[in-house]
Amino acid sequence: MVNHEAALAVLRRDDASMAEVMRALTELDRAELNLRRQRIGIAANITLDLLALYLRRHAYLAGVRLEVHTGSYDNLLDDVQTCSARGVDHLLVIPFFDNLQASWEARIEGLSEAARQAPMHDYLARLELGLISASHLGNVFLCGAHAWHAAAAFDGADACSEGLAEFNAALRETATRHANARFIDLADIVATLGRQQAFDARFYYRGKAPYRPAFMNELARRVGLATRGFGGAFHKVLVLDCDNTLWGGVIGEDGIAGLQLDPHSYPGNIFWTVQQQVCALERQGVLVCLCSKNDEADVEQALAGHEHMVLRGEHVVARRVNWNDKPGNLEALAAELNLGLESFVFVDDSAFEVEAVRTRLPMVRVFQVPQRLTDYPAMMREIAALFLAGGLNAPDASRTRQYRQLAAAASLRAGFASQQDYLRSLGLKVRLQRDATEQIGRIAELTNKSNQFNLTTRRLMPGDVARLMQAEGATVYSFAVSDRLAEHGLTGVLITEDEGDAVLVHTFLMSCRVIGRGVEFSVWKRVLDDARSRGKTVLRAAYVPSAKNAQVADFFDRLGLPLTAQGDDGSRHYQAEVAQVQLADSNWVEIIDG
Amino acid sequence: MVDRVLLKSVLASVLEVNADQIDDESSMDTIGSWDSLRQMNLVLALEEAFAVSIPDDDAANATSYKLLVLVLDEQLATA
Repeated sequence: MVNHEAALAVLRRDDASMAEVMRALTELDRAELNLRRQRIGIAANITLDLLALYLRRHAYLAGVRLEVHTGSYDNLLDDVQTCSARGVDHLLVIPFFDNLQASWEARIEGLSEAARQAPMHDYLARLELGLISASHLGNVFLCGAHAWHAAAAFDGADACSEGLAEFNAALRETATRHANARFIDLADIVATLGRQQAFDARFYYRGKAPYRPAFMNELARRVGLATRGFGGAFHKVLVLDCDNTLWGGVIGEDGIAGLQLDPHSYPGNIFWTVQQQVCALERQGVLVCLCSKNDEADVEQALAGHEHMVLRGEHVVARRVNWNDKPGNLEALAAELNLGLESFVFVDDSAFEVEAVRTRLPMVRVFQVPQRLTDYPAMMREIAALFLAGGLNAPDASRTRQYRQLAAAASLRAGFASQQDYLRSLGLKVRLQRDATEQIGRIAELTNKSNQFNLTTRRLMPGDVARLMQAEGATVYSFAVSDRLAEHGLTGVLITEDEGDAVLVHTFLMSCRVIGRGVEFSVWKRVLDDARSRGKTVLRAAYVPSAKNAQVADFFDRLGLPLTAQGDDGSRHYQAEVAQVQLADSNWVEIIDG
Repeated sequence: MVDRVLLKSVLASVLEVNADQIDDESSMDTIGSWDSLRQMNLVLALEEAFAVSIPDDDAANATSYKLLVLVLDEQLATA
């Protein structure tokens, strides 16, 4: 008990360090707590595994044990389809603009309109296909793209800013067409934190991991809001204290004339602004209640008669103005409205009352009026976000804006009937080389770097590769992938060794950049052709498990090889007749020998 | 001099091992969970814990306990 309370206290602290958060999460993972469980998937074109840490943090704070599926790198369609098949509760789609194509922001300036739109068009087309398969998921959040560099032109009229605006308009438009999809503005997080706090150039250029922990934490917090506490809370009721919460001063002591509410002077203008915000929420359907230790007649008089009150009696759906304790009053309000306390948000200036409600009614979301009063309107915006996340209607003004963007986005949208149509449209080409000595260094590097898509995880030194290339019965295939959008460079290595009348697969690995497009199946036709021409009749292959290659455990099954044996260590062994085996289809990939 | 207890505790949290499993010989080669992704997280966590900024090349290459001690000592001395 004590440990997990302490762990939660760490997670609640804004200044908790990353290591502290990690320890607290481990503690909570171990604790036997009766928590709701939820699952969230991530599909991003960058590396952001740290986001899982912060998503789990904010989930625990909302009373939810969250399982996070971080997808593979830049594999949108596969990630969305995998998450969709797993039936995650929420899916986050994160397109990092500068990585739509390598260093996209730097390249976009000199491009023609068509060349500029191609990668955006491509991304949106894949997204569209993915969303169709994800229509049964609870929430799909389309994260708005933002710039990596500061805008080149002071008026924001450079090609990059314009491309971004078009892309985001198209994302918003996509969100309006899919019932479960919603847009999340990430540019606002960058603006809030500043680039220094948001980005890390070291890890972006080294490992495609552009975001710093502060950004991940804020994104996770906002996802928590947008999912209503990961599906937990549906806030409907806003309960306000009166003295120093709704107005400045204490009505019982200062009298109605002494209340601070003047819109034209400090601090009255703060309370007046907050009342405007409360009334805006009331107009959008939030139930506003009062809970105050006061004489009821005093409060009634202020509501009815104070010239600067914005909130009036008719806005208040229920009230408890008496000298009873606040937790009891909140329970009474819940009973009167016939609503659960978990739908309540409570605001008070007194640390004592806040603590009393927090301890006795932990299901109520509690906010204390900030010490620095000028922060109060910002806090009310947070509270508004809690209610708005619950799906209250967006104001009509934003709807007209959405319609305008719709026209702009139409040109970016594509229609593909199936994933295969889409893949065909890519014009995938694989340039396959055999024993290419000029690539020895790069091949050795790939065998050492590739972890996930690596069937045997045999690490080779350049000398080993050279020896295999020279050996009579061995072939080192290396292949580079390109499509109409980009050159992906050397992306895969396949090594075979002959043994009697059999061909053995020594190594098969690919860089994660191009997985999920059929390239992984396409090269095997050539391996079989070569085997036949050398007079071999049998192909043998094995999957050897490592700590990181579970995603390819069934690769050879999917390729179409018959499984012949399984080892206790999880290894899987395959054997196929070269003359008969039927390999998985990938006829949209063109193989170029050379 | 770098606080080695704190260093080990951050390493343990990020790499998800016990602090007493970390010794002078610990490195990317001896700890299974220490891969290039964890290296990034490790650098970010250490920068925060020790209030230093680790230079670009060291961030990628300091992949053992001993190297991290060296890098942190250097940064703390100039801080």
